[in-house]
Amino acid sequence: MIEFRDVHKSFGDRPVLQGLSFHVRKGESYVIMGPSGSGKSTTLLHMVGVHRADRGRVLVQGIDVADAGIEELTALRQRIGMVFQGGALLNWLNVYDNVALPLRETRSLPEAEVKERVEEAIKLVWLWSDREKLPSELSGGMRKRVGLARAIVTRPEIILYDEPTAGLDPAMSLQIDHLILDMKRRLGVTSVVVTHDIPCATRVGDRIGIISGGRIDVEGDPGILDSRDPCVLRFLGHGSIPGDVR
Amino acid sequence: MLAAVGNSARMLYGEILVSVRGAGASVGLLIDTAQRLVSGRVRIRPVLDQMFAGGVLTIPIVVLVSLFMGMVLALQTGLELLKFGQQDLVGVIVSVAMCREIGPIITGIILSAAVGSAMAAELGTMSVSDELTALDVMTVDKTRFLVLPRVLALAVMCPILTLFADLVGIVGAGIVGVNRLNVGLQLFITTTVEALRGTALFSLPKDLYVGLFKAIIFGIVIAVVGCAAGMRATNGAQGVGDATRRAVRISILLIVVLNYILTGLFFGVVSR
Ligand SMILES: Nc1ncnc2c1ncn2[C@@H]1O[C@H](COP(=O)(O)OP(=O)(O)OP(=O)(O)O)[C@@H](O)[C@H]1O
Ligand SMILES: [Mg+2]
Repeated sequence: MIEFRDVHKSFGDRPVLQGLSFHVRKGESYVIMGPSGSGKSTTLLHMVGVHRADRGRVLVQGIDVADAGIEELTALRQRIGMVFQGGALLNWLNVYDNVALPLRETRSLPEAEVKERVEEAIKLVWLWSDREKLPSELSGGMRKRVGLARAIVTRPEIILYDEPTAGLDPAMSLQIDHLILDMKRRLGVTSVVVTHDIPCATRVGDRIGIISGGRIDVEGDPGILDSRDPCVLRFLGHGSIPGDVR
Repeated sequence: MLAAVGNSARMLYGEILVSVRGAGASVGLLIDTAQRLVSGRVRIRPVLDQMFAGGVLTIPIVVLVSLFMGMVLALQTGLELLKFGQQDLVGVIVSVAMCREIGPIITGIILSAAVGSAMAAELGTMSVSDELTALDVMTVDKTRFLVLPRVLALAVMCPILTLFADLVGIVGAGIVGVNRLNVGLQLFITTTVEALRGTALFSLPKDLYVGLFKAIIFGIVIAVVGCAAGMRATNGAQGVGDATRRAVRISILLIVVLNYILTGLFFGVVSR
């Protein structure tokens, strides 16, 4: 479904991805973890062709994203929903219009169907009573949920989540995790979830990969987070503090 | 001394380089925008929003600036004319100068500084906060969605504001002419109207319509340059500031250069 083969990417002379390889099966949810600045968002942006690999291949639904023409890429992007780290909402549109945007601008649906789908998506993230508000009137967590609604409103086959629960309170995080699982179970959505949140990773992940040094350092089921693998421990920060008291 | 000259020359060269690059990016965007205009529907609502944000709100400043420009022009030329007893000509000189050059240029520069910069800042902020990337990923056509309404809005608003500037500037000249130079009000009005009608084509004063044509071009330039600079912004808040500055510099430079070329075309070559 999604496959990275030995992907290299540098920004200027700063290498970010250095031989990244992993694959995500259809209907699976794959969690990417890693320290800040390790290239997690960059990895997601490779899947939608915003960034192109310097070397290696990125295949999504059998399409080589780096080589895809504009029409092929557009068709692919229309089957993918993406939740951005900061929400990436348009600040002059209210919640409702932000969620309706991809339907109105890129699909010619009758307004009645737009309304039905938008209402459904906004209710799924519990923001229906805030639908008239502008992004500036929302909290960071609410903006993230609007971003989530906007990503699912087009009913994509693949959803990429960039830190969907960062900045949410524990109860809301739990709800979002259930939403992600729900999308997967009910609609068979393939998901890639970037997160720092260990409970979230354990709940939603079928498999977890930890990025370090521009490649997947360890990969496995959520159980690996409890293992004594040195790579995992390093990521979790254990043993990295001199004189650790535990 | 020599070092200072060398330094200034280097800065000038840098300025030209930045402008040529910015203008290059803008030409690409201009072509894209023109394509969107001829193919597919154009939604009116966003255009009206932009006309309001980008035009209506700048009316007061345009009016004030052109009022004083008209007044100072009348005063300066009037004082010279007074020496020859020709102060009655002040309406003729100021109205022609306002309509041909001062009105469009003033409006263009004010719009660059007030509206073009805002467009660059707005699109720049969208660029650095992933919103433009999000539009790409959602396959929303950024040129149609963001650029086209802004370009159309300024292509309409710039000539309208220029017309305001022309009128108010002439009124300013009239105030100075009547009060300071003792030109009769009736005489001021008849000479001004006569002067503008002198070169009429389709009974439209040429001085006026050439000025308005310039204003349309300026409006397009300001919007396209502002959008192009904003969309290329990277590097957070600082990048937005850079983009804004770049937009204003490039569009003002383009406006004065294009103004010269257009004046040359309409009044230099054509009428000879
Ligand atoms: N467009 C870009 N141009 C230049 N450098 C970039 C660009 N995008 C990302 N980078 C750099 O690539 C590195 C990885 O960035 P990325 O956003 O993928 O990190 P991340 O793993 O998502 O971090 P975080 O957890 O903080 O979101 C960073 O050092 C960043 O500065
Ligand atoms: Mg990130």
